[in-house]
Amino acid sequence: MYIWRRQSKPRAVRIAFQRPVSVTQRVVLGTAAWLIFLGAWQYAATADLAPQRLFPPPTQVLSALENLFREQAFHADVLASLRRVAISFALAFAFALPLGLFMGAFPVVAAFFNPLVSPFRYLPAPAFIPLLLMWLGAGDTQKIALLFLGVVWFLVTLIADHVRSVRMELIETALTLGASTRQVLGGVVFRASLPGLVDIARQMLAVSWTYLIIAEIVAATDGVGAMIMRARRFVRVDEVMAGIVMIGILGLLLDLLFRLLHWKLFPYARQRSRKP
Amino acid sequence: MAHPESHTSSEFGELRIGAVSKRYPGANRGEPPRLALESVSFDLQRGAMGVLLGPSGCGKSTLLRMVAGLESISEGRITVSGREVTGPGRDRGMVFQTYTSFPWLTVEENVGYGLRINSSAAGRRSGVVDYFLDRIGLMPFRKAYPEQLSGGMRQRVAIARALANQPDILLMDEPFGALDPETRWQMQELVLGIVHKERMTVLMVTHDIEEAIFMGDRIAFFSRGPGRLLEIIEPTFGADERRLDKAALKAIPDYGEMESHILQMMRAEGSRASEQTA
Ligand SMILES: Nc1ncnc2c1ncn2[C@@H]1O[C@H](COP(=O)(O)OP(=O)(O)OP(=O)(O)O)[C@@H](O)[C@H]1O
Ligand SMILES: [Mg+2]
Repeated sequence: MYIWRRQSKPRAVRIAFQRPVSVTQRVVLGTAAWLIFLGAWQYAATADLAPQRLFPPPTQVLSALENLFREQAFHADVLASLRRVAISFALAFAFALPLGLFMGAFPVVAAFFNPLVSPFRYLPAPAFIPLLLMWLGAGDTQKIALLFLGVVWFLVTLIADHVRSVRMELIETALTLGASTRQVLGGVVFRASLPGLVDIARQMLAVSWTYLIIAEIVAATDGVGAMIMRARRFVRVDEVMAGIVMIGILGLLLDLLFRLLHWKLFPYARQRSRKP
Repeated sequence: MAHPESHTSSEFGELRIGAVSKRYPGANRGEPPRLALESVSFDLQRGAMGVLLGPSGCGKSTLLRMVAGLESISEGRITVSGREVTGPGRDRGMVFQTYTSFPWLTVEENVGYGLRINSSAAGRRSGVVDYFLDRIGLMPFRKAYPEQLSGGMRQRVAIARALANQPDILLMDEPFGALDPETRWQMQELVLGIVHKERMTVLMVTHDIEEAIFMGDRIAFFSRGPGRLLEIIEPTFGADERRLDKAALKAIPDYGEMESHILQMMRAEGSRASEQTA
């Protein structure tokens, strides 16, 4: 009877603490939020509150984006940006993973590295730009180094914290089954933290993405950020906005990609949404 | 005992705890170390079921973890099958109170984990895993992940995983503590059945007096602060019919006597502890 009653009113959106929201409701609500936002933008832009050249409506931004791809080879900028993020993030993760793993698993290692790593997190990566320019020049290496510095210390700390939270009972169980230190580290500690590591990568990738624009605004000839700076010089606000939209879209796609990866790789960690 | 370190077949599965003490460092700096266990001696023959019983905080888990090699021994000596305990090893399997199934492995992979890391041949491994999956009644769930199992099922997986690794002794720390009474009772019978069949030595911790008398061949009763062995109780009555079922057990007059005796000791310990803190 209870189930029947719940199904009879599927569309009712009630506000209550911790009340679950169905997929349909989620899609409808999310779309509504976007429509309201775009509608308000369109209205404000066409109502002559500001000169249209400085505040174009969403339709114009969209056509500017299309134009960028068709006539200004924007895909080359997008690829250049993606490449920088991919290389720098792969390097940062490859550096942070072993360090974070050992720091999380062995308090001795953490006691050694923590005083070093923690303060680094508070140094804003853009502050290193002048140094990097002097050391590495204005090329790709400098940009990749900046992106690397932007995320690597956070990655180390997040990974170490996450690895440390692996339940001691799991480790001790493996030990009493005869596992060696290496087997516990790889087969239990690393394996148990793996889903969380993919989540950490997903979240820090978003941070890396925000540093990308900073890197490309400084002395860059290609990339989404460089295009935005070019458009600014000619006061092409629609193209600047199109660039920002593109960054958002790419970030969203990467986020989705990592969520998909998580879903595919860790079937046991899927939420039990559908009961058999 | 000319060569105490050598592993002779007559010592297989024997547990010897000799005058063992445990000191934990004080919680704060400058605080003296706290004595958690004082000179505890306790032996088990192969195939015997030992039970550690006593009020909370008397050091039961500490002793069990020292046998497992997960906690250092401050004084004294523990040997299993004639070998001195210096660290954890596959000869001493452990089942914890909390759920410890590896969530990324299926039920059968969990049960086979010990054999896999000890690089036993895949063919032999699947035979052993099948045998224990069958014994614990989880054959239909072999491909399931622990997340999909009930608490009782997960604890059965943990027990099967420890047994499949063929340890000399099985250590269990309140293994049924989180289970409802009905499941608890089923699990007790299941473990007794398997353990007797395999002639496995078992040392388990419990709070539950009924469980202790039902399962134990030797019950070590501890006092608190610091933990000392007060009495070793051997429920010899009823030999075999004691374990037929719970109802039969409770009908035996000796059972009631033993239960009230232990209950009295528990009470005395409880009031002693409250005097100490007052
Ligand atoms: N890692 C530790 N560091 C310091 N003191 C500890 C530690 N583990 C246990 N103790 C102390 O040792 C004593 C015995 O603890 P233990 O966990 O062995 O008791 P227990 O008999 O298993 O209790 P319970 O029935 O509640 O599980 C307690 O006073 C506890 O505070
Ligand atoms: Mg305990």
